[in-house]
Order: sequence, then C-alpha cells, then structure tokens
Amino acid sequence: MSPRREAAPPVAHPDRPGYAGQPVLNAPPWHHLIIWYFFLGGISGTAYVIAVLARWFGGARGRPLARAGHLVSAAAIAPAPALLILDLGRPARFHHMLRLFKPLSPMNLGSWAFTGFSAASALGALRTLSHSAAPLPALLRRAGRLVPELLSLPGAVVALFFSGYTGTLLAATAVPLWARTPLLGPLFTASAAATGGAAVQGVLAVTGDDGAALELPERAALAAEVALAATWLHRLGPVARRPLMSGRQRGLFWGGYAGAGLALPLALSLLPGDLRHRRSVRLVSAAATLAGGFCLRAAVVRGGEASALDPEAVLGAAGGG
Amino acid sequence: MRGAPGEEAPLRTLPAVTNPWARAQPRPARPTVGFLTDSTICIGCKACEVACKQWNRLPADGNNWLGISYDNTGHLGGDTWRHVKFLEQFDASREGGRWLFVSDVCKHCEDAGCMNVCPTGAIVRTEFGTVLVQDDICNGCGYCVGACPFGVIARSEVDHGAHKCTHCYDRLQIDEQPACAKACPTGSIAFGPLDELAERGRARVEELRRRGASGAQLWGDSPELAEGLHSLFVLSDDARRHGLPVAARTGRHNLLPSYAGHLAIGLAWAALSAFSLHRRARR
Repeated sequence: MSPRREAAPPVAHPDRPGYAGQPVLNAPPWHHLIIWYFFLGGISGTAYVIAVLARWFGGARGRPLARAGHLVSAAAIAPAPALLILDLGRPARFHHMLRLFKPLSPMNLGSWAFTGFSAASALGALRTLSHSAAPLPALLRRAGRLVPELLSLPGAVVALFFSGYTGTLLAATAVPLWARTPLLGPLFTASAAATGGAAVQGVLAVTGDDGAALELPERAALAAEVALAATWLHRLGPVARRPLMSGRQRGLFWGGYAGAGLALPLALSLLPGDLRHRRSVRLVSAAATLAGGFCLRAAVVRGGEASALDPEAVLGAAGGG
Repeated sequence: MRGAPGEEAPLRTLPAVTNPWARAQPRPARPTVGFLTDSTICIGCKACEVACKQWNRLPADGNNWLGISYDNTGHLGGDTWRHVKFLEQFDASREGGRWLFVSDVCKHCEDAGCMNVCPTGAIVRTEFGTVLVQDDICNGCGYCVGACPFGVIARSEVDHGAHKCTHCYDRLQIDEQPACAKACPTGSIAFGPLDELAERGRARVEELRRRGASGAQLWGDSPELAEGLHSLFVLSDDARRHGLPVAARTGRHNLLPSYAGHLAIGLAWAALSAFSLHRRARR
C-alpha cells in the first residue's frame, strides 16, 4: 500500500449558495454612532413638532408641553453633528454633503434637512429660554421671541421629514433586510413619533406637569408601529428576515423592541387613569418606549450588515450551487 | 484628445481640489465603452488582477487563505477592482467535473446604485458612459457600499475613501484600453464600444450553444439588471452560481413609496396630536 496519504477530495460546495458561500454584497461600513444618530434625530424632529403644535393648539395648558418639546428637541439634536461627522471615513470633508442639492440621495436631502432643522430646533429652545428667567442679553432675548414664530411652520415641516427620513435612507440601498420593501420609512417615522412623545412625556413626568394630551397620539403611534412592523416582517419573507429571527439581533428586536418598546407601553396605556398618570408609571412607560426605539434601530442597522453578507438572501432561493 | 480647439474644456484641477463647490464643464460625450468578459476562455491566471493593482497603484490584499478554492482574493473591494473567481464543479469522486473561471469587475450600471445615493456628487458618469468616483470629492460616508447590488464598491482601509474600478479613466483619455484588458493573455477580457461588445457576446453564446454548451449565456444586457450593465459576461452556468444575481433593482424604486408612507404617518400623527392638544386646552 502506498504510504502516501490519499489526497483530500477537492472542495465542492453544492450546499453553499452563490460563489462558494462568499458574500454577494459589501456590508455598509457604518459603526454604532449612526444608530445613535437615527435614534436622537427621530426624537428631536417629533419633539419639535409637539412643541409647535402645543403652542398653536394647546392654549395655556400646552405651555409646559411646548417648553419640554423645544428643550428635548434641542438636547437631542446637539450631539448629532458629532455623530454624523465621526462616522465619515474622511470627517474633514463633511461639508461636501452640501456642495449640491440632490433629492435622489436621501443622505444628501437629509443633510440639508439636518442643517435647516438644527437651526430651527436651536431657535425653538432659545425661544423657550427667552420666555423664562434665564440670563440672556436683551438683543438675543428679542430675537429668541420673534424669529422662532416665523420659523415654526417651515420648521415643523422639515422636522417631520427629518424625524423619519433615515428609514428611507436605508430602503434606498441594495441590502435585502432594508430594501426588499419600502416600509422602513413609515416604520421609522412611527417610531420617531412614539420615542419623541415618550421623551417629552418623561420630562413632563419629572417636572410634574400634565401630559395627558400626548396619550392619544402616543397610543396611535405605537399601534401604527405594530401594524407596520408586522407587515414589514411578513413581506420580507423567511430568508430576508433571518437576521432578526436568530443570532445577536433576535434579543434586541423581539425583547428590546417588540417587548419593551411596543408591548409594555401599550399595556401600560390601558391602565385606568389614576394608575396611568402616576409619575412612576409615566417614567417606566417613557423609558421603555425610548429603549425600544433604540433597539429597533440597532437591530435594523446591525441586522442589515448580516443581511448584506447572506448570499441566499441576495440571490434568492435558487442561488444554490 | 488634443484635437480641434474648443473640443475639450480646459482642465481646472486646482479649484476642484481647493473649492468643493467648483464645477468643471462636462466633457463632450465619447462612444460608450464597456467590457465583455468571456469566462469560457479564461484560464484563471489573474493577470488582470495584477495589472489592475499595478496600474492603479493598489495595495496588496495580504495572504488570507479562504479555503474555498485556489482563489484567495475572494471578493471585489476598495483595493481590489478585478477579481477572478475559481468555481470548482466536481463531485466527491472527482470523476467528471470542471473548473470555471470568471474575472469579475464593476458593472458600470445604467442605473448605478452607488451614483444614485452618493450625497456629495463624488460619483459621476463620465463622457465614456462609465461610472467614476472622484477621489477629491468623496468624504467616505460609505452609503454607496450598501447601495451597490453587485458588492463592487467599498471603502479602502488605506485612505478611507470609497473606491472601485475606474475603467482606467486615465488610459481611456489617451485612447488606451484598460490595464486588465491589455494584460489578458487569452482575450477573455475584451474592451470596446458597448454595442459592438453586446453583438460579439451574443454571437459567441450562439457559437458555444451550437458546439453543445447548452448552459452558455450572455449576462448583463437585461434591463432587469440595473437597467442594463456596461460590463457583459459570457457564462457557462447559472449566473447565481457565480455569485451574480439574475435581477437587481436599485433602491431608487423605494424612494417614492417610502417617502409617501413616511408623509402619511407623520401628517396623521401630527393631526391627531393637534386634535388632542386642542381638546385638552378647552377642557
């Protein structure tokens, strides 16, 4: 018998889809900062809309809501420039985003919306401070009272766009989890409405103000999220939704988002009024909604990377070979 | 190139570097060019990969043993713009099988996903119909990477900008063919006007089928593939077995429905908020 070892059979991969199981797409190279940007941008946009609507329609009882909304909005947008710029491969060229106006690119449109909205948000907070006892120079105080009034309507329109465009940004790629359906735009918008409302509600609970006017839209936003997320998962199909059903993202999506972010606040909203309006219940509900909104974005962004690297999800079921 | 006066706009390199808002005049259109990569005569020598690296001064990939075949390049990326795939189609007994080689490259799509989403305008279509990343504009946002339906463009670890095949734009301007096509020793990589290449590809597939290669097909000219590609491939098996999709729609088609749903949800929520605030105010 030959002492030589029998050569191993050549590697054939009949069970590995595509080119020997190699990824078909390249995964987007974003790190975790972009998840925080998606999360805080959504809150900032809808908190601004709540503040403007509270000023227009809320009367005297709306004043605490307007104040909380403006301050939450400005606080949430404040770290956003750093988050965006640090995620670039070449941060010193961040201003190249604004060298043209290109609606075909959601990131370009979002950069313009961000530029306009962050100014509106900051002026809204300045307006709130102008009407308070905060120490401000007289000229700044006068500008802070007048300019935000003129900016409120365009500001609110841009804020609504800004709060949810990040879903469309993901849907405009080739990643199966993000782009198989156009539902991430509306889902992120509904989640932004819920998280923005929860952030304002949390501040009102801390200051001891009445936030009952936010309950109805909050419940509606959560219900819309349930419907949109269920439709999204169904239309993705078993292969494209795989990153959310197993592995690292499963706990984030089902425990963090579906459980803490949707089921818990919806259940708490069904409690009788005297229980529901307790400070502790309001705070728990707000915190759960906020954590859930973050988990949604984290699971979608991280799951999208796994989705891009899954040749079967990209090529379809017949990609075996 | 330096023919009749006024044929070419004067080069304005310095303002483009120092001032990102400066615009160069578009150059007059030239015939649309492309690649026809015939996998049936590729011998897997990887001369195209090496020539591309050399001409474009790209860093080496490193010794990453993938264990999938003798191909250890694995994938196109920011520093790898040509990639020869080695498909080993053998059964366990090694009786009756075949090697398939195909040199993959950027498809220079009609509906280019990378160019659509690029927020800085760094990615443009050139006078040759090719898709080019302007390195002095790119800010490395990485959006194009996930938007390419063929996994071509990627961010380089060296300079953190997005890169892919330039179709040797510098060589095209002096009427030279791209480095990969020039280096290919078997003629597997053909370069020329796109319509001529499509004609040649169809004739080649017909000939292959006549000779009994029933699986032969031309891949890349279907509008299902990003409205048609500028890199065509003669394949002897299902495109998906080569890691190439049979249909690829760019994310552009999601923009309107996604924005419409976003607007509907946002306005409905705002209207409900206004109603709720108004009702509380009167109570």
